[in-house]
Amino acid sequence: MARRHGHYYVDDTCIGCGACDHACPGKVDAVYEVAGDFLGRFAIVAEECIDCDLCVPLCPVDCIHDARNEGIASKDGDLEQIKKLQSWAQARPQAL
Amino acid sequence: MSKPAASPTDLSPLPPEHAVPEESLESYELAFGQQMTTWAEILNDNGERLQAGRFSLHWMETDKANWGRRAKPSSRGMTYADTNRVEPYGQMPEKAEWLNFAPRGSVRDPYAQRMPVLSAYDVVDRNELWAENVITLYEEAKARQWNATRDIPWDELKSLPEDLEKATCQLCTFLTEVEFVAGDFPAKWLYRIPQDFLEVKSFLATQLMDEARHQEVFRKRAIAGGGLLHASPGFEWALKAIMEAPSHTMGTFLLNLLGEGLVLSIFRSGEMIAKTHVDKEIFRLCLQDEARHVSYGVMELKNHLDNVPDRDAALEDMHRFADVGEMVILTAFTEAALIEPLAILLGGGVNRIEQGLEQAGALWGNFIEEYLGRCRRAGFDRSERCGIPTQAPWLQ
Repeated sequence: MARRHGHYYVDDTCIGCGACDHACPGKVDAVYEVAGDFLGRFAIVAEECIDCDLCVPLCPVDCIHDARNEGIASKDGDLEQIKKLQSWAQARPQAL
Repeated sequence: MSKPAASPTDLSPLPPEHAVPEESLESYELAFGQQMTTWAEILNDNGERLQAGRFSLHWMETDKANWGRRAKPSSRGMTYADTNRVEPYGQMPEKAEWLNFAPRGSVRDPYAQRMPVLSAYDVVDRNELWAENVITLYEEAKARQWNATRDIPWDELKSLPEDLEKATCQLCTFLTEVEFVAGDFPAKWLYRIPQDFLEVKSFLATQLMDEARHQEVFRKRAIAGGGLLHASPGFEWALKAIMEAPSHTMGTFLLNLLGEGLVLSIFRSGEMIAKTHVDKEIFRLCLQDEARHVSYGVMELKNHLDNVPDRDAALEDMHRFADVGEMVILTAFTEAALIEPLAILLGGGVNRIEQGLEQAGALWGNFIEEYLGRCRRAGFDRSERCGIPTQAPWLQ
């Protein structure tokens, strides 16, 4: 059985304001600043996202999307498709 | 040693300085004299109690207090969101009625009649200042503060060829000039916002700090590279239009959404514009700050339009304001003192200014597209009415 995951992803129009970063529940902390990105953009770790939707209404440029609304990832096992939608973002930096 | 022409004892004393104009002091005395009955009663009561050796301990009464409801930190620490979850601390009025410093959620009703009123607090409608993301932006702002003295590798700054150095210093002169208004505007409005909107005031305080740091870093960069170059009347008119905006929402739209949006577009092109790794680092750090300001501007306008009693009238007012605002921003954006150094930096030298101008045209197109997108996000569609051409004038 596929492991559960979230369905939200950030597109590359993110301006890096970070409003989503602190909206993500602290114990989840699925939003991260993309390492080495000159524009300081943020992305979401789909495996950690709990689909709470708290970040979406705070985004000033509508760059956070629910893949399910786009006919993608409507069922478990579609994690790779969601990751492709956020392929502009590098992997989350390892914690020191 | 010969005697000096005049010793200190021979000199006449300096005329007394009047640091405070006499009429201002008289007016202050008069105002407090007229209100003396209220605060003098408090002083009298205090004096009697102390002389009688009595204790009040009224402040330990918790009947009307929200005592015992304790906020719990989240894993990130204790944020305003965490304390606002505890009733009633998060209850924000649609219209602020407490025009003094009494904290929201404190026991203040019993003292209403004896409280002073500060006439400066005149931005009392929540829909004139709130943004749904203001609390998280405040947290982000605190987490991302940096120091323009120590966090920039100034000792690694290398001299550039003269044309590129002058272009860099002119761009920094422009940025220093505009960052002044970006600090003064929130300062002008911050003190007019009542304490019940403490989250907004806190965020605006971070914006003030950000802009102080920006004018500092660009001033330092210019002086380290040769010097500040030309101020510009075209910039000044745009900045004046921001400072004199008739409402907080309108000015925030013009400064944060449009003006800082333009500056953010320049910073986001920093990898192409900057000619040294030191300049790239300056742009990188500044753009993170600017992104927060743009973010607040978009969401503040959205909140305003979503909550005003008459949305159509508010939209028309905003359009009228933007008709003027876009033209004055265009005045700045077409100044030679901005476009030409940008083109020289993008092209790679004064002999490639034409090629650089083409790239600046692409930057212009991106900026307008982003600006119109942010307006749409706020529910303010400017696509049919935007006074700034979607294509740079030199490409038309």
